[in-house]
Amino acid sequence: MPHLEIKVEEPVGAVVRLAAIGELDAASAAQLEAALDAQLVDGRRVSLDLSEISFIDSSALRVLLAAQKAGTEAGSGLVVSAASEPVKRLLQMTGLNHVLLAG
Amino acid sequence: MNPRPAEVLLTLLDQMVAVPASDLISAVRLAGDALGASDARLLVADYGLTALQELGKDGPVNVFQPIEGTSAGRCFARGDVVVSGEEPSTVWVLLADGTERLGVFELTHPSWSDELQSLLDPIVRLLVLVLISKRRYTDVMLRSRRAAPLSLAAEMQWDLLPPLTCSTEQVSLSGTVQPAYSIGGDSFDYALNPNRAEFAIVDAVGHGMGAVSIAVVAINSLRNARREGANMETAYLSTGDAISAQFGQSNFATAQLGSLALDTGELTWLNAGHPLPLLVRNRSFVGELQCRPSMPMGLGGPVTEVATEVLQPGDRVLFYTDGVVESTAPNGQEFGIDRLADLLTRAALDEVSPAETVRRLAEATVAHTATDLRDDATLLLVEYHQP
Repeated sequence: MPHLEIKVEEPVGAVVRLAAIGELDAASAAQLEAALDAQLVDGRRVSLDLSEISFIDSSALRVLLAAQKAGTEAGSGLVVSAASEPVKRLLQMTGLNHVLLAG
Repeated sequence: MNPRPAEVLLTLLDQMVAVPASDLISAVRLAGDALGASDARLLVADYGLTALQELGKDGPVNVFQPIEGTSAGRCFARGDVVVSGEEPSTVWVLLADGTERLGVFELTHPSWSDELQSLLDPIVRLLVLVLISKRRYTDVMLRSRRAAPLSLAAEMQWDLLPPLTCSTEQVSLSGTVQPAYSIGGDSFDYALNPNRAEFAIVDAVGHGMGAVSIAVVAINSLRNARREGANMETAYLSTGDAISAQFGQSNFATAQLGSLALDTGELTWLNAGHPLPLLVRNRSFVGELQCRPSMPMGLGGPVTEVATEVLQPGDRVLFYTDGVVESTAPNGQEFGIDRLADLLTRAALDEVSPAETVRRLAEATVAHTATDLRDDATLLLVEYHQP
C-alpha cells in the first residue's frame, strides 16, 4: 500500500485547502476520492495542493476529474493549486492542465 | 539421405495434416523423423518473451531456457540455425510465419550435416503451416506459453491483441505488453490495409478488470471505426463516446492513433495523452515527434491536432505508454526517455529486427524495476522500409 497523507485545513469562507502528500496510484486514489467527496459539499470550493506528490498515475487523474465534475454539478468546485513535477508532467501529457490546474 | 525429397515432403505433409490439433507434438516429431532426427521438440516463447519452454503433450514441459544466453535463445532472437556438438548434434531452427515467431524447433540428430539444410528449409515451412492452421483449435500452444498463471484481465488482453509482429517489404510493426501475466489497461492494435498501415496504442485508466474492460471497448471501437472506413478524428470521437456511454464516471483511455501511407511514407497521427513517440533515423536518435495533446478518449474533447511526419526509408518510430519510462529502480531512479532512446538506437546500430528490438526494450523495462512493474508498459515499433 503506497503512503498517502491528506491534510485538511480549516475552511476560509467557502474555500477549503487540502494537501495530498505521498504517492497517488490505483490503491491510494480511493483515499483521495473519499477526502474530496467529504469536502465538495454545500457549495464549498476545494483548492488541492499536489506539490508533495512523488508519484501519480491515471487512476488519480480519474478521481480528480470525477470530483471536479460532481463538484460542478453540486455548485462546488475543485482546482489543483500547486503541482509537483510528476503531476505537472501527467497533466501536460494528457492535455488536462487547462482543466484541472488553477490559473 | 533420401534421394527423393519431393516424396519425403509429400508423405510428411499428409501425415502432419492427419494429426489432430490436440496433438501438435506429434506433428513436430514427424517433421523430426523426416530429417532423420532421433528426437524433435518444439520450444515456445513464454508470454513475457524471456524464456523458452518445451511444448508437451498437454501443455509445457517444465524446463525453461532463458532467451538471453542460451543456444535456443540465440536462435529465437537472431533467427540463425544453431548447431551444437557432433554425433549426436543438437540443432535449433526458428519457426516463423513471416516475422511472427512461433517458437524454436529443437532436434537431436545422430549425424547432422550441412547437406540436410536443403531438406530442412521446406520441412520447416511445412511445419509452420501446419502449426498455424491447427493451433487455433487447441489450448495446447497457449498453455505452453505460460511461465506463470495468467490473470483473467491478462487472458482477455492477450486475446485482444493482433499478432505481436508483422512485416512486409514496405513496413513492419512490432509490439508487446508488460507485465505479461497481469497486464491491465494497456493494449495496441494494427491492420495492414491497401497502401496504409493503421495502428493504435491505448492505455485505459485503472488496473485489472476495470481497466481491461475499457480497453476492450476502446480497441474494438477503433477497429469498428477503421473497418467502417472512418477517418482518425472520427475514430477518436466515436471511441470517446463509446467509453463515456459504457463507463461514465470520468473513465477514460489515453491513446495515440496513427496511419502510415506506404507509398509516400507520410505518417499522420494524433496524440490523446501519451508520451511523445521517438524517431530513429540513419541509426541515430533524432528526437520526439511533436503533436499537441487531445483530451483522453471518454472525457469529451475535440481533436486538438493531427500531426504529420514524412518518414524516410529505414526510419523507426517507437510509440510507448508511460509505464515504460516510469518503471522505477529500487533506488528510485526512473527508466526514463534517455535510456529508452539509447536502447532503441543501439538496437538499430546492431541491426536487430523490430520484433527483437521490442522484446529487448520490454525486458530492459521489467529488469529495471527488479520487482514488479507498477504500471502497464506497452511498446509499438513502426519501421518504414520503402515505398
